[in-house]
Amino acid sequence: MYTILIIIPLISAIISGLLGRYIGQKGSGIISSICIGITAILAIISFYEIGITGSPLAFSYINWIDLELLEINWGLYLDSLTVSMAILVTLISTCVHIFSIGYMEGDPHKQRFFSYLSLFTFFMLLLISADNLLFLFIGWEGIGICSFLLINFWYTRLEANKSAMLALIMNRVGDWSISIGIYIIFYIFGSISFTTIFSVAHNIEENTNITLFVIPLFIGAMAKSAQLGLNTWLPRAMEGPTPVSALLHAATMVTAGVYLLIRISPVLQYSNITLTLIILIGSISALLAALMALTQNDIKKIIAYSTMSQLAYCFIACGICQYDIAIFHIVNHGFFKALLFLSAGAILHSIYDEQNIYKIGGFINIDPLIYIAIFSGSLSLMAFPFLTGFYSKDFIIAASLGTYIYIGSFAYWFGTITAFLTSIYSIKLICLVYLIKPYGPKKHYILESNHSIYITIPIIFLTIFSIFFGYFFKDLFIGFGTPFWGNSLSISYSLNLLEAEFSNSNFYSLLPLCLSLIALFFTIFYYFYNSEFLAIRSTIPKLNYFSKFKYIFSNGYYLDAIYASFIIKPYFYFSNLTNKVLDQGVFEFLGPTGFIKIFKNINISISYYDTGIIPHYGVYIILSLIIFFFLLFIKPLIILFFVLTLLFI
Amino acid sequence: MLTISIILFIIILSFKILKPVYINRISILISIYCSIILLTIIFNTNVFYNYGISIYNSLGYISINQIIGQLIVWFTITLVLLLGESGKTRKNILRSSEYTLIILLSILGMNFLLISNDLVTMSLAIELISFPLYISASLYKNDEIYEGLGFNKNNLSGIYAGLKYLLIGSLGSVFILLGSVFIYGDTGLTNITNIIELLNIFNNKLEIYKIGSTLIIVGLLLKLGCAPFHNWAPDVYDGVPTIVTTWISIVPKIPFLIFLSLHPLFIYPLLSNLTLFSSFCSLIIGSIMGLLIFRIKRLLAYSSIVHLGFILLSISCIYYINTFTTIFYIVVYVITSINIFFILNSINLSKNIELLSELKGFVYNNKLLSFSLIISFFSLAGIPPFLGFYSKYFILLDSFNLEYYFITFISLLCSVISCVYYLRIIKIINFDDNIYMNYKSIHLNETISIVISFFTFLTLTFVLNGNLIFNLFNTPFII
Repeated sequence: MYTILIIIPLISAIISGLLGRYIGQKGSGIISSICIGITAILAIISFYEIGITGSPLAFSYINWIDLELLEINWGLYLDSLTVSMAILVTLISTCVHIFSIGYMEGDPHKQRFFSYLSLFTFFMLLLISADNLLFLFIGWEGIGICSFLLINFWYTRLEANKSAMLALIMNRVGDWSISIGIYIIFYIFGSISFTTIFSVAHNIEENTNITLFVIPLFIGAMAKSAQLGLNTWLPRAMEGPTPVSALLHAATMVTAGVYLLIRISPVLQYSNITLTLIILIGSISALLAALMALTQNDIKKIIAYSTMSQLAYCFIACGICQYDIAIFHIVNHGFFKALLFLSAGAILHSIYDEQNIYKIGGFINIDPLIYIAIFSGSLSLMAFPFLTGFYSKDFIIAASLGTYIYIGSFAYWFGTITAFLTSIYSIKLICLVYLIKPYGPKKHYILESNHSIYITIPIIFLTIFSIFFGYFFKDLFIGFGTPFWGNSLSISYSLNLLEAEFSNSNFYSLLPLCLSLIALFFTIFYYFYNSEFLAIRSTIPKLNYFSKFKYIFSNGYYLDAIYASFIIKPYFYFSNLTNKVLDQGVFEFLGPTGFIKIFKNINISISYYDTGIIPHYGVYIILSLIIFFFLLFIKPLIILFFVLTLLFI
Repeated sequence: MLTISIILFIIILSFKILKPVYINRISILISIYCSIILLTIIFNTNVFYNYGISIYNSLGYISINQIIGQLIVWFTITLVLLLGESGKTRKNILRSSEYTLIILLSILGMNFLLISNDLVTMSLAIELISFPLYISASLYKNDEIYEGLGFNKNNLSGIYAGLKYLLIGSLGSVFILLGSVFIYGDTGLTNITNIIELLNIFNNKLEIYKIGSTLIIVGLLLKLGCAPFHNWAPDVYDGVPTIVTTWISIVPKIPFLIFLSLHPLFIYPLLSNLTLFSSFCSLIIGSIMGLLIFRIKRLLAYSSIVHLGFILLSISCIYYINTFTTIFYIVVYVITSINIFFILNSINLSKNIELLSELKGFVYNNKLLSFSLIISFFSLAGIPPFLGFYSKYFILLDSFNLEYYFITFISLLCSVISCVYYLRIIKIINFDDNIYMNYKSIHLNETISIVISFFTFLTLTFVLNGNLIFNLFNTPFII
């Protein structure tokens, strides 16, 4: 069953990709949706079998690489962590497949699209079920390639090409780093199998050797999860079709980075430096991503930046060693973020892909269903009490304070401010799109906004999940002393959870929530009485200076420009230099040209003796014989030198 | 037993009872028969393990290594005689009775050399190998009736080459005899086993013995055509017809090399400097001199000098390593170069080629044959997945492990340089402006095509399961 679970998406990809001609446009969508649906059902069954009944399993099919040094089996390693990710991936993938049937209507390349989506699902399943780092890496590369193909799906658009290349190159940085990590792991452990690494990790010298390979893996995770510094590809990736953004760049692919950190948690545990670094990077990118999201006009980019900020929460959770909360937040976030993206896609689908939120407005009466979906998704995103996001996100913030280390309180404050900003931009989005009066052109509103059944079903499904999932699964995932995780995570049942629950003062526990609520009401007021606020603002002229900061945020801190001027330009200059001076100059002279000259000269000087006259040959033979007699008594190197000098004369 | 049967066969031949066509076939059958007997001896008896047998009143000595050497020789002879079955039925010199007679005499000498354990037998065997070679080199001159056998345009080049071969070869024989005299004068012994015992007693302090031994080594190197004494080799190999080149450039080398590697007497540690020096010179000269050559057989002669350099390198280490490396390299070299010569001979059937440039556009004429030729040259150059890489690799590994860093480095460099001229041939075959269809398309008969395809297949697929062949070779070499 577990083999079928992984193989079915691949079969689906092959059917719709290679046999797309025979099954037709509609057929490819339906067949691949059914395939992925079966996978989802199997994933739920395996969630029950492996996760809930607590029987992890590992098995290998064939021996792939068998050197004396290195032995790699093609095997699966299925435990609670895997199946938690598997239900996330397969359920969202099913929703996205069904949604795409409606969304991609009229596109001439549907078969290709479904093929890519299924292939992505296959690689993601491969990644989460791998039993060694090499297979994880294969899945990792595979989802990178699928990401490239899907962003570049409308390959005639220049912007799409540029974004796809940016995504691929940024991910290459991470891949490079991960491969280095794997080499170091192989060097230290002599194996890259997870079980081996985890079993002997406690014997490895802490903080030096472990840090050596954990940091490269962390950098790879940063690139995949779009953390600060390597984040520029994520908003640009919104060039692809919206279902792609929902599947890859919100719910599943970007979670691969966090998944990697959680997977290596038994090793990560030992490296305090890396943990500190993770918290630091996570907190800062959470805040900066929220600030960026605040200043965007594009509906998809807002959601994309919020993804970055939510993943940063997961990083914080990893950094404070609460891996179960991290995986819980990933799953929750997957559901409500997919919901947000699909809803945004539904809106865009009905209004000719107008992505600027300032040009929409007043959709609440036209599109109430999508309004409900996006509203519940947003509330879940900003951790409104008793919705899905609340159970994990709020808990991360509380737990980070409960660590009682300075870096923990650092994370707490950054997280709190981020939560505040999150509610501002979420509510801003809802206000601008739905609540305030219409700003869009007339043709947006005279449309009959009847979404097809393919669009509504996934949205309703995900709405239910993003409201109730956290409530139902809280005890299973992060309940105190839950047996669900078994050995799959390194859970230190320290007092952190208890501290977070009970010992934090009420003020600090309630602060994030209160700030979110304040932000919510404040934003609604701001947009309903916009003219009054503007009037007040115009009376304070100095405020305009502050508003110039906005440009820094909205341009992503000019990271692209910084990379271009500080890395890419010197790189091109350097490569020009090496090409002109070294490659075509020095090496050419010392290499091919020079060698040809030298050997030609030697050849001519030797063949001068090659007369073809027998007495000459006799003389050479006698002379060589004399040299051989010398060799008996003198060291051979001297003779060599002697002969060589003779030759060159 | 074997040798006696050969002598009988030679006597039968000399009476000219049979037609020449049958003579070639009978000699092929006999060589196959001998190979099979030797194989059964190797795999079915435990007699030779750990010790050998003195025969002919201790003039000869047989152990498992000698048997393996004889097997390789007979195997090669079978292949070379198979060439006689190619294309032409009339006027094929390999099917004439005198040529076969000469070849069989030489084979007799080779078998004697391999089992000889005495300085006298050794010199006699060497003479017996050499004289038929001189004769066969100059036996035939270019004539209208000998079309398709790879004669040079110059009518007398074969005779020049034969004379050169005779004179230089005699010089080598003189050295060997003189060396034997020195050894006999110093020790009073001619039996090699006895000499070794004496050396152990005197703790290697016999100075005149050293000079004699040096002379014998020089004589053997001269016969092989190793570097400081190499000048005759390209001239001779180039001058004689291709079908004779196949014979004299491959087969006589095997017994000499195996004899050298089986008798560490001549190359005990102090004297291994000589073979090392010769190996160094062979590598350098062979790889550099081949660069500007435009005649194909001359080029192959220089390439054989490079390979001799490699074999000598492993022979210099033979005191410390398994004989397997050397034998394996010899076998691989024989297989590859026989494949090349088979292909050249089959090209000769439709057009006589002397120059490299005449191979232009060969790929358009016969794709599979040119593919086999390219694979063989890659193997000679030592490009990794092919057979030639592994033999080189083992030798370099051994010499590196023995801390011969300088010569290892030099041999690596020379291997790179010699790649240039192999690749040049491949370039000429594939990419040069073709004069294709200048000669009519080549049709092979079954024997030749089976041999070529088998060796090409072996070269290509060795990488898949090399252990099979290693085990085959390794089991007899437990000693």
